Amino acid sequence: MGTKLRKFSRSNGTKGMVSFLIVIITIGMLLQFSFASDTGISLDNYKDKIYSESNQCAQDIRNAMCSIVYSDLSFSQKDDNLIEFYYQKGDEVITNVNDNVKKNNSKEVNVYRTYFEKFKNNYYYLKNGLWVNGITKESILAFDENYNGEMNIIAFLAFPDSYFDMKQIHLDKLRNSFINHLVAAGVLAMIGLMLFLYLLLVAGRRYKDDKVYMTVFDKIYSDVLILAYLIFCDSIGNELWVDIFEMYNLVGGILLSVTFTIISLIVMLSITRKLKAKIFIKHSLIYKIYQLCYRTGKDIYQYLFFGNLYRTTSQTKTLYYRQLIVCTIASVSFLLTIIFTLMQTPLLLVTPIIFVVIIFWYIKGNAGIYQKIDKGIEESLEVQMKSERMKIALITNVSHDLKTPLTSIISYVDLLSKEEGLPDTAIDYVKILQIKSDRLKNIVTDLFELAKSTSGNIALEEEVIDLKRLMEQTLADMEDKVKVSELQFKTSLPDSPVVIKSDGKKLYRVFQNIIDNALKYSLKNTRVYINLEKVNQSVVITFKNIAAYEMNFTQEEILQRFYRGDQSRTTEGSGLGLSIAESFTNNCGGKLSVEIDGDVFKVSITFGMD
Amino acid sequence: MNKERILVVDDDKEIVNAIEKLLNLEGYEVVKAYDGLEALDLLMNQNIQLILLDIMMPKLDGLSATMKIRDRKNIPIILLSAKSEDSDKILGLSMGADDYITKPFNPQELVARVKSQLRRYLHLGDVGYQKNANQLIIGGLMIDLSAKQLIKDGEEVRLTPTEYKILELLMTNAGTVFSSEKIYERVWNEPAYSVENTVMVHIRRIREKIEINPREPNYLKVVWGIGYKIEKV
Repeated sequence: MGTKLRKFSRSNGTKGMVSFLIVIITIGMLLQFSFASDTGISLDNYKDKIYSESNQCAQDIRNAMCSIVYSDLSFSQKDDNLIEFYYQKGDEVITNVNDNVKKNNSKEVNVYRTYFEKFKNNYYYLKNGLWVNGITKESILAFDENYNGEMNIIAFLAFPDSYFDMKQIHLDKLRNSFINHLVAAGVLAMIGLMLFLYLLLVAGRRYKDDKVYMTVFDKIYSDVLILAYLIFCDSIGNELWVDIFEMYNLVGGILLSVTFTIISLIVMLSITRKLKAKIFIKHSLIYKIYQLCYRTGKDIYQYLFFGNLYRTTSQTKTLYYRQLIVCTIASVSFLLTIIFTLMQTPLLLVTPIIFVVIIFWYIKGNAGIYQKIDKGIEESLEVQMKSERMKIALITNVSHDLKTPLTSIISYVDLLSKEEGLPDTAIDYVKILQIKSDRLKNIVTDLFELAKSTSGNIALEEEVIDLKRLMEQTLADMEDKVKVSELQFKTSLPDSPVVIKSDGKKLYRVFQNIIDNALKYSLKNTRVYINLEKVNQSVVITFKNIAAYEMNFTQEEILQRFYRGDQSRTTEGSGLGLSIAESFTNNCGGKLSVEIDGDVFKVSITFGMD
Repeated sequence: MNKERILVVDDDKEIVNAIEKLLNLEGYEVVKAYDGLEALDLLMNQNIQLILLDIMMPKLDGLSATMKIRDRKNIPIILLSAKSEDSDKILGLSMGADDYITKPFNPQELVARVKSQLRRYLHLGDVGYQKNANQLIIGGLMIDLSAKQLIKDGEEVRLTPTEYKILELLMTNAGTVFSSEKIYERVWNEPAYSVENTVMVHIRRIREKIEINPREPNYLKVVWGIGYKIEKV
């Protein structure tokens, strides 16, 4: 159950779904906020429960007063039409008071005044450009200070109880709506926060293990990411505010907030992952720059003051001291430049001249030394090439000098064997001579081959070959020997071809030599195991056999030239088989190693596959 | 019958003498020379059928001598050398030599190669004239596709039907490398599965019949890790 939950909670699908939900919830929350703000209620004036005592009420009254003075009577068209007013400027009379009042008396203004006085405390009249309360005679400045009061206006204004009642109902409605939206936004915020916490918790985690996995976004340096995010927030914030909270452009606002949420999520989660992996600081541009500076500084410090490496040879010693002098003079000149600049003396011109002189001196001095070094390298290369050429010539000459007399020996021994009338003992001697001269021939051939191969002077004929086929061919080729050997060969080859690029002929010699070795030195009636398998990016070929005698030598010894499995050296062979195999394997780009475990002799050859 | 006359050239007198004895035992007449110039002189003045030529010699080395001889004569040239690299052999053969024997050589092999070259030079020329569309010649080998017969240096070689089929496939496609599976499918007409041994056995038998030294084949070669082919000569 636990693992199931873990699998579910850490799966990418769940994470994606949650991220999507967070985006939706954020939009919902922002919308709720904007609706709440749209009610005109804010946390400041929320406590004003009764309209007639609220600031809003005073504001409304002042607004009405302004409107009348500026003869903008549009408010009377709206729900404010409960406000009663009278306005007279010269002959122009505007009022919303019932016509009945008018008919009763000819002195119209007084009739109206009497009518309005009924409203008592809620009655206001205009006097000398100021509104005055009908009861308290308190004057109210309703408009801006620039208004200089038109004296010829007579105006009355009254707010009947019904107006206050209506306003109170309206206010209650808005307050309810405000609180509802606020609660909704709060709930959404809580859910969103919880989901966000969940995301933070599983960020960078996967089902399999508890490692922290990074994503593409984590490749951006932490500080760059945060800086970019802050700039983004700064540029987008105001826009978002206007669009969403003032309902200016709702669609644009939603799109903007979606973008904002997604980017915020990416940034926050990236930061979380980095914090979890403890690379938040290390993976930042500032840190990298710091590191670079540190390393460069260290290098400069080391090269400048610890130039011991330089001082060991006579050539570079001069280089080192020259460099030290240049650095010192450069620093002094730099300081002088600053001082001269501050003093503003014409001496300022001296430092560039010093620089020019010192650079000239430095380059010219170094050029000579570089030439010397160049010459030295060339000479040593020449010497090396010469010795290489001599080595090859030596091998060729020695081989020729060994082979020529050997040819004579073999030929005359052969002639001798054909001679008739020799005594029996002589015939036996000739036979021995034949066998031994043949062996000598093999040793010389092997030695020559090994010398060429180890000197690196060997031409490889590289082709795309199948090691599996090569092994089959080699075994088939040596079948006769294998059959008479009383040994059982157990081969395990892969089903598919094992293709590498190498010299097939050389590798055949390698396999042949190793198998020959096994045939020569294995205990009778045992098995020889040959394995060919792919391991990771390489091919490993192993040959295992049981030695017929105690192997009292080490892995290193057996690969030495002329080392023989049996110390008495009675068996045939040149003692060069494994050395040749090793050298050829190296030539072909492989590695040969020998392992001895009790009586088990194991040769492994490894090739890289690319 | 006229004895075939063979010119043996080597700066080592003992080797020349040994080869002389060997060839005399086989019934050949031997003319001796100890450097390239001497060899060229003798070649002009005497009727010689074959040259055994050392490469590393004073005055005129074997390779230059080979080129000079090839300008004038068509006789077989066998190079003798202590240089055993493939590249040396290829160089020698491309200079116009017919065969290449490395020192130290097996005396029996030397004799066999001499015989083979002579037979081809002296007798196979006639067969060459009769060559028709059904005959294919590679070096000293001639396969007669209609008679299903293999002639090596003028003598018939007895082959089993399978051996003949393998050889026919490889000779008609000389120079092409065939994998054992391909050979098996083409010769046995059966799908191949794990046939390396079977094919190799036949290849070895064919080699014993057509090669002078089966361990260093001239014609039928194993391309290690790839397959088998007959060299295009």
